Amino acid sequence: MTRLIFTLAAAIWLAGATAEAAAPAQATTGHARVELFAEHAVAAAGDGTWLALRLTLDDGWHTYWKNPGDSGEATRLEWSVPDGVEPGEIVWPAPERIPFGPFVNFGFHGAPVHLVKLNIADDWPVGQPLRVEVLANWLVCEEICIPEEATLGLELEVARVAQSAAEPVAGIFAAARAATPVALPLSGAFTVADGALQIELARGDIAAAAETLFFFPDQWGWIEPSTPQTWSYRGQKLVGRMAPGPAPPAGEFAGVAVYTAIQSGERRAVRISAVDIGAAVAETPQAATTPMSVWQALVFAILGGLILNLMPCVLPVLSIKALSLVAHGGTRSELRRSGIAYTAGVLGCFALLGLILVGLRSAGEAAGWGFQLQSPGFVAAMSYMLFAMALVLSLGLDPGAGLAGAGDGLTRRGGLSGSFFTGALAAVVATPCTAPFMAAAIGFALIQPAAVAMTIMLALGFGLALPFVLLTFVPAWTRWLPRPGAWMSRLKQGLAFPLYATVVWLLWVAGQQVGIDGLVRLLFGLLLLALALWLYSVWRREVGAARQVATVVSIAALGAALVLGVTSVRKAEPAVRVADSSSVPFAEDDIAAIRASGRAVFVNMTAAWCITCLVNERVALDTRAVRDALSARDVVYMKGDWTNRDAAITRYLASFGRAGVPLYVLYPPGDGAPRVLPQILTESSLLEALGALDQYGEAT
Amino acid sequence: MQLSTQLKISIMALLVFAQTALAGPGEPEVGQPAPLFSATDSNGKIHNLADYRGKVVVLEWTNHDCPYVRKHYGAGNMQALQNEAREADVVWLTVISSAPGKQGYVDPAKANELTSSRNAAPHAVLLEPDGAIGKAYGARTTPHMYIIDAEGVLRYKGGIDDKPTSDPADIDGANNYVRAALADLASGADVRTPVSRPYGCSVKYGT
Repeated sequence: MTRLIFTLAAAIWLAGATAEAAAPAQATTGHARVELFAEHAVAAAGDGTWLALRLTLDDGWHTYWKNPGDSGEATRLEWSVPDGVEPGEIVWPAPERIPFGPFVNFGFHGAPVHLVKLNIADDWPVGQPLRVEVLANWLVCEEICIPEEATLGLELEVARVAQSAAEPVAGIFAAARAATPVALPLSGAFTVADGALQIELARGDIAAAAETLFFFPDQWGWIEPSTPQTWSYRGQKLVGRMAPGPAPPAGEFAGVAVYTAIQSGERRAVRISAVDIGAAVAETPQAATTPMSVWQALVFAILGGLILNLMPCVLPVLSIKALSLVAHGGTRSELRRSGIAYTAGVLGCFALLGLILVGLRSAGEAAGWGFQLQSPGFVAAMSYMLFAMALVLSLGLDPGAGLAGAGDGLTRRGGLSGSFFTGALAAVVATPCTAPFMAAAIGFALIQPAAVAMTIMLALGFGLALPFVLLTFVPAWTRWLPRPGAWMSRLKQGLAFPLYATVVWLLWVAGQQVGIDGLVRLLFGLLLLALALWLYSVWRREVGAARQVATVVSIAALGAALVLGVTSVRKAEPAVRVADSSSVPFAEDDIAAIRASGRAVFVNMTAAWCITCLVNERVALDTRAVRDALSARDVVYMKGDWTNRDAAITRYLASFGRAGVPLYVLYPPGDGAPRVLPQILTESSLLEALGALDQYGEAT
Repeated sequence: MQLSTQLKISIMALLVFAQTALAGPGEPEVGQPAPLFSATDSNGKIHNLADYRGKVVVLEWTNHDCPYVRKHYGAGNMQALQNEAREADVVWLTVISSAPGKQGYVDPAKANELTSSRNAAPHAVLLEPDGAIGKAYGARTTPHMYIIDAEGVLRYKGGIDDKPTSDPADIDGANNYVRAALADLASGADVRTPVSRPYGCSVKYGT
């Protein structure tokens, strides 16, 4: 009984105490003064008002942001409000980095203001005062940390129409809003791959001195607060790289970027959010913004494949196959079968290439189209094979005689396996000839999930196989081919020359890769190959000892040729390139600085094995008119060489959604949008693009 | 004999240094071998982590003046965990990485006084004012908890529980990650929450 009375008495006393001593609007604690303000002297029912909690901290002491970083605790507000009133989340000022030892916290010095929107229901009885109370908890640290708390209260008048508070309150809110990060209009993209978190934003949204930029993530665990971040402008993107934390972001990544603005030198803060675009597209921001549809890519792939048929390296192979059709004829079903076998050969080869590409990509290698030709071994093997094929044509060797060695032997085998290997060979020899259509399709394929990438590679192969398949499926068309005759052997001999030309070009590529010594080994290898084939062409008509000697010498020559080929690759040393005085080597980091100094930049991404690139250089880039136009406008001509693997160039290509060369980008001075020029250049189109730069000159 | 002890110490120092240099402000990953160390306790005894192979080891970073540490010691929460660990034959090592002159730095006598006055039950209190072990482990806060299994593999790192405040009232109802992880290890299961956010005061490393 006594106990009950005591409890009741205590309850009454407590109730009285709270009613009498309404919490004040400010308080002073050990290391802070804390105040609560309302933006409106009279708040509007149906809308509400903003409240501000200001912590004025002792010099040298700090409190924490919503993500406190490596240690510490965010300031918390617990509201007591009547029904019909709803306080929102804290809108935080932009945080600062606060290092301790090897670690970093995120927080505030000085007088951080925490803004909270107070929503008041439409049916709040107008004229009835509204009392809000808040229990604020904060951890305040200098060297040591002290948790502090205070309960503050405010009474608000509520009416239909709001009335702003007088100064200095309006100024406090204005300053607090200025210190609040501005939300960026567009989402960026982010990926976590290979131990790095990369975020990409549209460059126009942030004009920062990139090295001053620091990103504060909203949540603990997303990134390591203490590890350095690197930010740089790449093409149309602002790209940041940082170390993922113990709980990397999935799906969404958001936070605040604080930086020094380029023009004004002011500190600015923006709210950033980014969506996960998956590890597969780590290097290809363009994918998120300008996607090509899968169907479009498939059409381009088939078209690109069709065009490959006309390439100087493919045409001879196909012609030989077509000739064999003319020569041997066959029943409809035989024809059809050989067409299917040929398609299977092409598709098999493209599937293999696709697998290698996808594999390299998932292994984190910077791969792109034409990557095969970045390997000197592949270049050497190709030159041997094409040279052997050309010799077989020149020497008029009997097809189907079981020639050992080169893949040509397989292709000339009659029947289905012959058709299959012709297909495979066509695919292999087609790879150097990157048609512009194909670059776009493969560029797209490379940034897709593996299944889509493979489908696109197969569509490309299908395009390559299509003409021959049509020929076999619609035999009526073979009637358009002329009757067999002596002309056929002359045509074959003639067809050897495009092959020799291709070999010359391959050797030139190999020379770039392995230097003059390696090249001489390769040439000797070719010489021995020629000897072996010539001996073979002679020995098959001989008998007895002569034949045996010829066989031995032939095989020895072939072996020596192979040894030379292999060693030429192994002894590879990067060739010393003769510097081109009119261009500077590609350096992405320099682009922004050059543009800031008022000069335009022209970027040419090329490779020795890229025929389109070389043609463009001869007919457009290296002409006197273009050179004069470049120097008249003081354009910096940057040349990136992708002949051998180069991760920086692969990344740059990917930032424009490309997986291969050529790529031509013209940056106007200042920070205007760069212009990507077509993959096939003409002198007039280039001059026109350079002429368009003059508008920037007048503007500045 | 003299030489070999010196050699041992140099090698140990080198190891710790190498790990510090490699890990930087990073830290060992859960599932990877925990960095080995050798440290002197408040009774002058040397403890090698490698010597505890075969037993589960708990590392607790502490600073007796930190409000978050006081939260768990004041309410008897940390001591209760230490006693449970002792009964389960788990080695509990309390580590103090505060530099001389900084908060939480104590001499051996004071460390022992704190243990007895708080009824704490650690296997040992390791004093490492140079912060090498703390930095090798990436210890950021007091408390910051690590659990190493009998094979020397790090199995848990993070906070003591999921209520990152300095208010003792939050201990009840909190999910104590350390207790849960020790139970998971004892039953041979994977640790359900192997990484969590450590919370508390910063470790008061020297510069």
